[in-house]
Amino acid sequence: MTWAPAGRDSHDVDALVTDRYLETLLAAHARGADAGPARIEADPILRGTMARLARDLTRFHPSFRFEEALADRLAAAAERMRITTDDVPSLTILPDGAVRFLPPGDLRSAMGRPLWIGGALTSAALSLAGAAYLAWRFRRPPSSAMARAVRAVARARLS
Amino acid sequence: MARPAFRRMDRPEEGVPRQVPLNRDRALVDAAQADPAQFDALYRKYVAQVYSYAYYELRDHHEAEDATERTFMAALAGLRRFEERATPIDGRGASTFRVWLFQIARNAVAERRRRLRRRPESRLEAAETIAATADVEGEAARRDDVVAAMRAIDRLPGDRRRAVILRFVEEMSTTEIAGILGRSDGAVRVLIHRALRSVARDLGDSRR
Repeated sequence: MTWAPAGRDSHDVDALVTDRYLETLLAAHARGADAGPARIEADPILRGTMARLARDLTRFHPSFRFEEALADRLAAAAERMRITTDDVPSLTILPDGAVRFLPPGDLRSAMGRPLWIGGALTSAALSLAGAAYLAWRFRRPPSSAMARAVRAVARARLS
Repeated sequence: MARPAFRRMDRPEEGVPRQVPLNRDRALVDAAQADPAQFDALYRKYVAQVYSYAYYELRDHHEAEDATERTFMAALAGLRRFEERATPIDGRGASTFRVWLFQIARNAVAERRRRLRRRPESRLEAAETIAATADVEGEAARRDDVVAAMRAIDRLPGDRRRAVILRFVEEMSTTEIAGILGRSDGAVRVLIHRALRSVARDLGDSRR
């Protein structure tokens, strides 16, 4: 019978000892050594079984043809993902108040500091109301001196 | 302050558990999340492991290839949602890319197994085929040993079989297996311990 410390039953302790032995056995195999650790007193029957499984259960490799073909398919899928995430036009308000769909790459060239409203085309319907509201606010003449000052600063930053 | 997460080591001394940082794929994952084309590095690193796991579970070359393809396609599609959570504070629930990938593989394999159950085939023949593949030297005795071991693993119930494959073939730590199977470290240790007892009985019987 295995002595069990408080809070653990004998199954847990046996499992822990087996796990410890197995860990060091697999490490020994990784080093190219056949023998398991001598210092851990695991069940001799289990020690033999572990040694046998470590020896007999080898890793199988896919064929080169399959590996390369799947690599090609993944590369094609990655390319499609790159296109869909990078090149989807976003709803953008230009400094003159015009609202356009621009690819992210064109934003910097189209304007100094873009005001980005929408995300992707799919969310355009949600963003249209916001875009229209901001466009209206942009075109409306400032009502107070503070608003005029804020706009002047914004214009200076854009230019 | 963030601390590195360590579990296993590549070149341990005898009696000392191996420790490898759980977040060892962080750089590759970051690169692939920024640019999906960089996923190739992760694919090359893990394709043999995923394929081997699928092969042990399905015992069919084409089914294993199919499960491998589904696994990596799903991983690529979901990579942006993957979050590396491997810190010591996270403990046994620490997430690594490999754990996440094998969770996907486990689901892909389970789906194929369900399909195969509806279309049963001779598992014995599959075991013989694997043994023949492994038998590079042409040693009959060695081949018999491999066949017996494969049969013993085959007879284990679901999670015990998976735990043994992941432990012995993929050389995963208890923590990683716990993450893949959705169990505690202790539960995985007990699973493997009981599986080994069953296998020991089986192999003992097969010798008589």
